[in-house]
Amino acid sequence: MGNIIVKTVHGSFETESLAKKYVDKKDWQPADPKAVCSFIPGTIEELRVNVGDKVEKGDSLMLFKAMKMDNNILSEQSGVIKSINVTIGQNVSKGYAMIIFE
Amino acid sequence: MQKESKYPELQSRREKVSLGGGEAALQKQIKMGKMTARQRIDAILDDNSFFEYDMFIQHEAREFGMDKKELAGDGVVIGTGKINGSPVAIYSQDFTVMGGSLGYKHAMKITKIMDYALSLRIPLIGINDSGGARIQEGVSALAGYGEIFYRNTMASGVIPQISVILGPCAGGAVYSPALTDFVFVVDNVSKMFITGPSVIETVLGEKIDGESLGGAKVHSEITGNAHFYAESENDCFKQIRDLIDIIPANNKQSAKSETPKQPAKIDISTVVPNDPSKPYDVRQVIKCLIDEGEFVEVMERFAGNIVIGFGRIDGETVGFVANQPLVMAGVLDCDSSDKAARFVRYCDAFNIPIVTLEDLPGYLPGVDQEHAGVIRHGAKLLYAYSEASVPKITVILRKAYGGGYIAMSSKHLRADFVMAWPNAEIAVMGPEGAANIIFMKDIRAAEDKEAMRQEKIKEYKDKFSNPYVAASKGYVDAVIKPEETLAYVKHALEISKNKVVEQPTKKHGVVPF
Repeated sequence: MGNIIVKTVHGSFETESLAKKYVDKKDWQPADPKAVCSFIPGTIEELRVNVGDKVEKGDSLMLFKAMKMDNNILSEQSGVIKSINVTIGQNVSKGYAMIIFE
Repeated sequence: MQKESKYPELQSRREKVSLGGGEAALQKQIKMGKMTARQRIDAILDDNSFFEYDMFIQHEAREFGMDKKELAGDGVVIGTGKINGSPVAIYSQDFTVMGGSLGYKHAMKITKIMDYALSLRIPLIGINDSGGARIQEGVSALAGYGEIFYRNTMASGVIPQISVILGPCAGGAVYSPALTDFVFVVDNVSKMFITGPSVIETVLGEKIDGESLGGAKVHSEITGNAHFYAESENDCFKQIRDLIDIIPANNKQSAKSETPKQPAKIDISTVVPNDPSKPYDVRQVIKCLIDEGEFVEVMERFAGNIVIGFGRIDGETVGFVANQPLVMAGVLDCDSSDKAARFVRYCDAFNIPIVTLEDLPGYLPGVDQEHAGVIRHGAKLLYAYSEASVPKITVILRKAYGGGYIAMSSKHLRADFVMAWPNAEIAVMGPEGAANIIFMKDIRAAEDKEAMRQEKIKEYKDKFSNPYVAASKGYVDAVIKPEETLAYVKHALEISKNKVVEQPTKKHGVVPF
């Protein structure tokens, strides 16, 4: 756990300890609009697109099994698939960038 | 040509105050894509129904040159009016008058209309568009906020309180909306935060703009601070009118009845797929039960794995809580538990019966959920349902597993009527997981492990994945066909109108926050 030296309004210096949550915190990053991320931990059941495919908004990208449910993942954008970072049967954690658009 | 007024002084005084911060400031407000304080009131209320009070209030600040400043109405418009014929109290902060900043008199105007609303038992609508505390007035401004927060708390559960964020709402000011029942935001107009982008950058070095920090989308999708999101102010006002129409005006009255209508023409027996791993939109089931077109969804964009909202059955208002298999399989997690629990408490406070539609695989597993406190958040839902003394009707559509089964208004939390559809699976967990645990030894010892696993899954399914075990114990009152649901729900609502619940005397419980 970290400590920092703080200069007080009276000019003296004091040591303050930092809360664990503060030390562990990550800087805020805007979400990458080009990435399709897992919204929940789950398994890739079926991939319905390939690298280089042109996809329209609303097209099915994959079947993502999570919490005993087959979720049909629809594209929220139109564009070309740049890379696919998952394989069929793979377990992914929450927030994993599964598919990247160009 | 304008007719000469009989009371020229009143006329000129009224005109002056109506101009707020002056013609130039009003034009600036309009240029920013915002309506003025008075336009907003007129747009929300029925035509010509608004009566204004305290138009000529003046502040009493003397420091920092304030003694030379005259502020029209001290930066806020208050009054009463009607929405579809029902009375409401309203205040609207005027950004053109010193940035809508809150001084002591400004706050006293707001508290006056809050007191009216509470004693008259009519809903309160507050339009927030303010730069924050009027710094020149120092602690008096803070005192004003405190007076507002106290009244918000006292009025909670007595009259509906609605906050509309139509501009900045920063610092202490955000706590008044947070204490009210429903918060409305508009894209690109609303901004809410405790500390703004500049403070965050100075203190923490994080760069972020106002919209990404506390814009309408952020609060309706990520934080859950806002309940209704609109693209424009006019859309927002329509939402407010729709909501006021469907909720009771106070905790002693019931909501206005409408002429009963038939539900939308959807075949309810085809909405829910038999295969428990196939998602569907639970709103379709709600549509099959409510009078056509009469549904006001609350927090549509936040925690989509649970759907909450007000609908009408036979013309009477009912609260709906429904797991949404379309989003994250309909699991309960921190956010969806919070969302549903607060709604259940709202319905209970205002005597609105609750219909729960259940189809969920349980609580969401995961490190982030556990560390985010899913235990205490999930507990809120158990608390809210247990505490609620309004009629509680539960329909188990398909899955009801584990802790989720208990939490979703089960018989054990004193639901009045629990119905299950024939394909319902009421069990401690899904058949796959259960078979893996119970028959671990058999599966390991088998030559063909997969075949044995499948056999045991089937065995478990046949034994437990149906509604009849729960029905045999009386935990489910009736196993019904989907097409019988509406008749059962209507009957249950009809006979529970005079429901009485004996609860131990107490000051109040301690809700797990």
